[in-house]
Amino acid sequence: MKRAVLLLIILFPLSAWAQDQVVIRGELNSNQRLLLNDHNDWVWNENRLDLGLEKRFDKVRFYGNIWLRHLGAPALTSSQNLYSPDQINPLNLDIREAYAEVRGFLFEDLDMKVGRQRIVWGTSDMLSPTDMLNPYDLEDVFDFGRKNGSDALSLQGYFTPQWSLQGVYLPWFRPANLPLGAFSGVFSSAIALPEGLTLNEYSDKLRMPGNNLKDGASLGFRLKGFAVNTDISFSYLYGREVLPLVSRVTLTPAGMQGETNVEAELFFPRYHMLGADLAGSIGQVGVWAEAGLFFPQKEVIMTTDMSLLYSQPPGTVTSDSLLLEKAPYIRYVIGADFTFKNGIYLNAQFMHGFLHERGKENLNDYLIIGCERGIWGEKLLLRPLAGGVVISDWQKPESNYAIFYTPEIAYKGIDNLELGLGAYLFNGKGENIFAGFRDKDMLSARVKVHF
Amino acid sequence: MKTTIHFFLTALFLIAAGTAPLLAQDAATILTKVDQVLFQPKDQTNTVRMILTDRNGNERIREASIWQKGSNKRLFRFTRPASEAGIAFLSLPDDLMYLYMPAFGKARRIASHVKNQSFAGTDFSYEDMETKEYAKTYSGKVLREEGNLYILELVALPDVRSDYSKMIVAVNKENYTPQRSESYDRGGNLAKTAVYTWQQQANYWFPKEIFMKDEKKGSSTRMIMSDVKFDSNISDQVFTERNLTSF
Repeated sequence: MKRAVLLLIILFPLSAWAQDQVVIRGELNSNQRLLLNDHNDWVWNENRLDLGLEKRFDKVRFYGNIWLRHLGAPALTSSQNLYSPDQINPLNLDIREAYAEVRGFLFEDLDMKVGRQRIVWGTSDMLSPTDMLNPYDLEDVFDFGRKNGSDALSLQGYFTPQWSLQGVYLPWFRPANLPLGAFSGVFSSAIALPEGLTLNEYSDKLRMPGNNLKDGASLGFRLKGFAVNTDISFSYLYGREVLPLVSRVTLTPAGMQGETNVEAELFFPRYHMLGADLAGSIGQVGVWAEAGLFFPQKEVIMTTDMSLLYSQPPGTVTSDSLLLEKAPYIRYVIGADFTFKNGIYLNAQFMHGFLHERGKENLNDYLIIGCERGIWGEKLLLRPLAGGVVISDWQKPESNYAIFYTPEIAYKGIDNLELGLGAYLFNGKGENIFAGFRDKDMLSARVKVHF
Repeated sequence: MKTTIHFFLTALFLIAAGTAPLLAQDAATILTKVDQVLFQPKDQTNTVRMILTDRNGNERIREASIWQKGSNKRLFRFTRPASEAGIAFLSLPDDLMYLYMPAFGKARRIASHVKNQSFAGTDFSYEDMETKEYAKTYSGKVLREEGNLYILELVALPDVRSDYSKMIVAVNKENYTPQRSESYDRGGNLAKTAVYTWQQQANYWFPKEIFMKDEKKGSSTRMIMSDVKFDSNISDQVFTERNLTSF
């Protein structure tokens, strides 16, 4: 909080005298969501100042993007908390991006970007399987495709105006951040306990990669160009999963008979990825396709240690489960969009493998559709058809599916102001992320002000 | 009398037979001359202010910077209002169009289905915003002459995709600048009318103001150019994705 205040104290006088030199743009966002259950609980309360600062010299550009937010409701447990403004009104400061970009670095056709940055790969709409350099920002689980910036060095050389080769080095590992509030557990998988045991307490240890040149780093290359009237790119990434996998679970007896404490050890496995994407058109229809072929560096086996539970006779009692094969697997997206004469815009994507799904056997199929139309001179934007269908088992689709429907109406009748009112409705069965939301239908309201 | 009628018929036939190809050739010549005027500068930059007026008279303002080179490269970058600032549109030869949205951080290829859609809420469509040489885009015929104007009917060539069935364009006989145009939709209905106001600077003619009216919606957009500069030797690099996404 002190940092936030300090920043604002510095920034605003700076902006006052340097308005003609530093470009300051920003947004004020307010997002509210209400569960459509018996209690109508508020499940999302975000008020965010999104500030972008840009300064350009001849061949150099500096850019910073900062979020200052109030997120969630006050979580107070004691009257002592009432003395703490930070707890009553929790603020959060996030430096999303802060980088310098040099055009014509060393050579005229070489660009360099250094600092915290968003490195966007792929052609798909929001759910790019090859866009893996930055970690997911899953805090708002419905803001698909949101990524955190990464501290990185990027060099991009242009052979021709259309063909370029980009090399990216990320020295630090940064994991994904997980959803907040009512959706906090959606990316966690349940640990199956031996029959007759119930969970008393869960704890875990996260094994972070070492902060050195080798362990924490990621390295990627991307060749991008244009041929046969199509934008194409090929990429390679030596990266690390940003969502952890469990390597070891230790069960220890708890106080009560039949209860156990669970201690898990999690880590972030390495992988190689070969990617390819294209964007073009067939007739008047815009089309794109993108695929990431992932090669896990090692298989991931979860060892469950029950030695302390079954100590008679003394010895080691473990069982192993294969979580991720070493075999390659492919995640891909195929999409198309079209605008009808009457202004209706339709966008459809078929996706094999959601962002948290790994391993050939664990990839589900998703059909995501968006349809919108502006009316009254684009002042009102209607999204009557938005959502998708998930099939997690084609052998038994009737019990392994999900349908989500996210219509919205947005008002843009006044410049720099956008108001949105929408709903998130879910239905489904089986083991897939959206089926897990079936009791979390929501209404949403949002306000965005640009300045 | 019979001879007289025969003479008139023959004369009419000869006039018709001789005039039709003459007018078609004239239209092509006129279009070539229009292109020579429009694309005479090697390149140009300018800022543009667009005043959008809806059917109720309410106004909204858009501002942008434009870079243009030759007859088929144009970069359009919004500077105002804040909600649009940074959005850029790149039009390249062979119907290639890219849209850069700062929020996504990447340029997106856009297919030709957007051509008939409103460009950033204005009464110009993406097709209207493309740079194109008239002579390479349309076949035409001279419908008539009105005082100082040639009135041409233009139809897109078979290999050119257009959402207009035809355009009626009035061209100034002296300086070959389009003065007004009517664009008709596929059903033959009048879709849009445009009025151009020209200004001469450094021996080049440029449209100081374009007033575009959507005849169906009743809305209009007035596009006013300023800070016009010619022949600044703009690099081809300006019209690349590299430039679109960063500088």
